[in-house]
Amino acid sequence: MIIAERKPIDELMEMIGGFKRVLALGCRGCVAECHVGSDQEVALLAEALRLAAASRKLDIAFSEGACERQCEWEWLDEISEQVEEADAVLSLACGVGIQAMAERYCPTRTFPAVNTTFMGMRLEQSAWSEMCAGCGDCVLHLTGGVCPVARCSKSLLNGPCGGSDQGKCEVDPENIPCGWQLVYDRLKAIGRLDLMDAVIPAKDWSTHNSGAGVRSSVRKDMIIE
Amino acid sequence: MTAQPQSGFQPRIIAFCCHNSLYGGEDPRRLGRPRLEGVKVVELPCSGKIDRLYMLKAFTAGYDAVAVVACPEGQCRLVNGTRWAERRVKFVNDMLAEIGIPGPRAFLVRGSTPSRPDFQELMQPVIEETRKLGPSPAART
Repeated sequence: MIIAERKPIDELMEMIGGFKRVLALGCRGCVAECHVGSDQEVALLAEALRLAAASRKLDIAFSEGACERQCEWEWLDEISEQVEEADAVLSLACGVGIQAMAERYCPTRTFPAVNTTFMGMRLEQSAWSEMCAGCGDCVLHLTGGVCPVARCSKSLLNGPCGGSDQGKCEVDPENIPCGWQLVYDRLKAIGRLDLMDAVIPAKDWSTHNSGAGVRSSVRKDMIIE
Repeated sequence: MTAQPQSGFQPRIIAFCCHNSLYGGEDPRRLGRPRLEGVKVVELPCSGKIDRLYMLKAFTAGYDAVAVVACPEGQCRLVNGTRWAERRVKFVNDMLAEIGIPGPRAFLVRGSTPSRPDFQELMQPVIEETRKLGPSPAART
């Protein structure tokens, strides 16, 4: 799923300065799972913003809403009445949802209430970790299903480096496990330690955002004519 | 420098009280709700029922402080209620600080079981601390 974190109140108040009716809009998809975009978090943020506005003696009315997924046009259509009542929208969706809102309801301004941080999963209750870098050239079949691009701090394809100590990464030994230790442990568990000796060739980064520019995907066979 | 109480300021406080802590397990219909000037009492089945939103809404409604009256450490009848209350009070104080409202204005007050506590005695520190802080800047006058 896509993980995000709420922006600071001061930053949000600066964004919405000058607007009188602001809709705080959640997304019940990925960002609800990471306690950022759910209905409950929308209510909390809206209340915090009401308090911030009152303490700054600003006259701003905040309304609240949420849709199933802000990254789908169909779901966005369902909130049209709420958006029409607002001068601006503070979106608690990921960057995809925020952009979809900004396009669907232009010229009503949509502002980001969150910072979208990474693609990951919940490894413990209320703790998420990055799992996929979306590089467009998957090597999971060579690494026992552990992604070295996302889970090695240096994105090494042939690791570990000299900074691996007791299964921890030198970048942050307290919090970051060594990605290549994870690869080693997994390959050992599946009886394929021989893959540790295989040299993974230099990666084709032209499929990554940094090499390919703006990526898109089209399935011509699925297009309804 | 220690803040001084603001003369003439009567704080408005809302006290979310755990049923067990407030009534010491006795029948509230017989005992009646405790009364204290400037303090509105809202009874909860357990301090763990307190919601972050209840507390924030109290401040937008114009209260100067919020108190959550919970059972003594380790004596919650529902085991973890006071722990959740403690976390949520901290959340609200952190949020108020982020907003720029001087505090802390959310208080976790430890009641007493099994006997019914002296409500005035319990709330006095909260009232005094709130007097020192002065009116909430979010309270509309």
